[in-house]
Amino acid sequence: MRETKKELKFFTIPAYRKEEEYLSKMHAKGWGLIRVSWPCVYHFEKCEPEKMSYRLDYNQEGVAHKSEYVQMFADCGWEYLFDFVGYSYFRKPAEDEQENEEIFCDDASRLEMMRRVFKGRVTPLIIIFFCMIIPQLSMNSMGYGGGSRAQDLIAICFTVLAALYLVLFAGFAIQFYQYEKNLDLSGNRYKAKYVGVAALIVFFTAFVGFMFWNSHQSEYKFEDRDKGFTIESERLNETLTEEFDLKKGDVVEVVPGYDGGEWYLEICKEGEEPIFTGHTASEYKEPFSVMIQEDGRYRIICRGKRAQGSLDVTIR
Amino acid sequence: MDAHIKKVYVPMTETGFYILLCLQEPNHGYGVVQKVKELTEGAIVLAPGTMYGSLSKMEKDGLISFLREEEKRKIYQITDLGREVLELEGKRIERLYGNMKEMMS
Repeated sequence: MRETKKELKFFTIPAYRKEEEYLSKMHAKGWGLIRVSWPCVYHFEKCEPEKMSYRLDYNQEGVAHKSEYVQMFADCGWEYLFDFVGYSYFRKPAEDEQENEEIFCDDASRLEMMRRVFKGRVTPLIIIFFCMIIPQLSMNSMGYGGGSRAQDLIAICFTVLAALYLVLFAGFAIQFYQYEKNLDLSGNRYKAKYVGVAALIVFFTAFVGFMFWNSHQSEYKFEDRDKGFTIESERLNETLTEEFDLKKGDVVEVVPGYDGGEWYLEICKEGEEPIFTGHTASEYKEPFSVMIQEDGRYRIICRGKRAQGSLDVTIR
Repeated sequence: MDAHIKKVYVPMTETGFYILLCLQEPNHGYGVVQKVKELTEGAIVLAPGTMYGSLSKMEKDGLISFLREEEKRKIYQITDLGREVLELEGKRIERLYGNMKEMMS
């Protein structure tokens, strides 16, 4: 049994160059690649340290016609290893001919490969981005789905995901741009295209940022009365506090007009345990009242999380 | 010849040009690689990823056609459209070469 080891390592979809370098470096240290498994685990076995070029191709047609595809590489001295999520892995001892031998000999065919990667791997991500992430973020930002912890977590996850996607799209666009600039077969026409792509990426970065910011904004009306107050809210994301001098026997009447999000209500004396806490999202949709047992200066605290609707507090 | 073919293949990459040039005789991909190495005395070594991609693209565009398979190697040959493209590219290179000779002497 030969000694083996596993390493978890992440490379973004267009970063196959870095992956190739990593694999060559590992082989030079005496670790030859055996396979890659989900999600990104690289399996190595102990081997003679040697200079080995690793190369990745992305060609679905080649994968579909495996034998002739592999034969072409074998004829040119490349050992075929395996496929992993659409990429085919090849290697060749570096001393053979020139160092750092490539499986592509011009920028045109390298660009073609990137187009195939784009079609196969990035198009599905763009669909997910526009059909799932953007709608979810907009809904969340507008306050649909309430303001529970779970919702907050989902919103943060989606924002992070959107940011990751945008970084990936930008990285891919930059790589494309560099190759196409070298080629310039189309006589500078590529420039307008990339200005467009850059503008789109900037726009959606701003859009995602705005969504995140917007989901933490408040929009409400606060009406202060002598003996009570009313809140009418499109979206409340802050804490409102009112103070009242109350006597034993006073009744605080609360009429909630719940229409989404979460409302919290707390009645307490300063520095003391609250005499009442309520959570209007679930149990306090109907009007209710709280009887005061002791004289003193009380605070009535209303906290909202994407809270929609109204809340009316009156003291009798 | 349709405009798309002209736009994509004229001017052509060196790889594309040598493929068409060599496939005037039926040959497989690796045969073309060897032939080009011989013709250019080792200066140009076509790489397999480039070869595979170019051959399948040219086959799709109708510049070359698949004849038969021999020991897992696909044998291709140039088509009439391929010949037309090769001629057009040849004329372009001829003009390029002529102008160079003129201006540099």
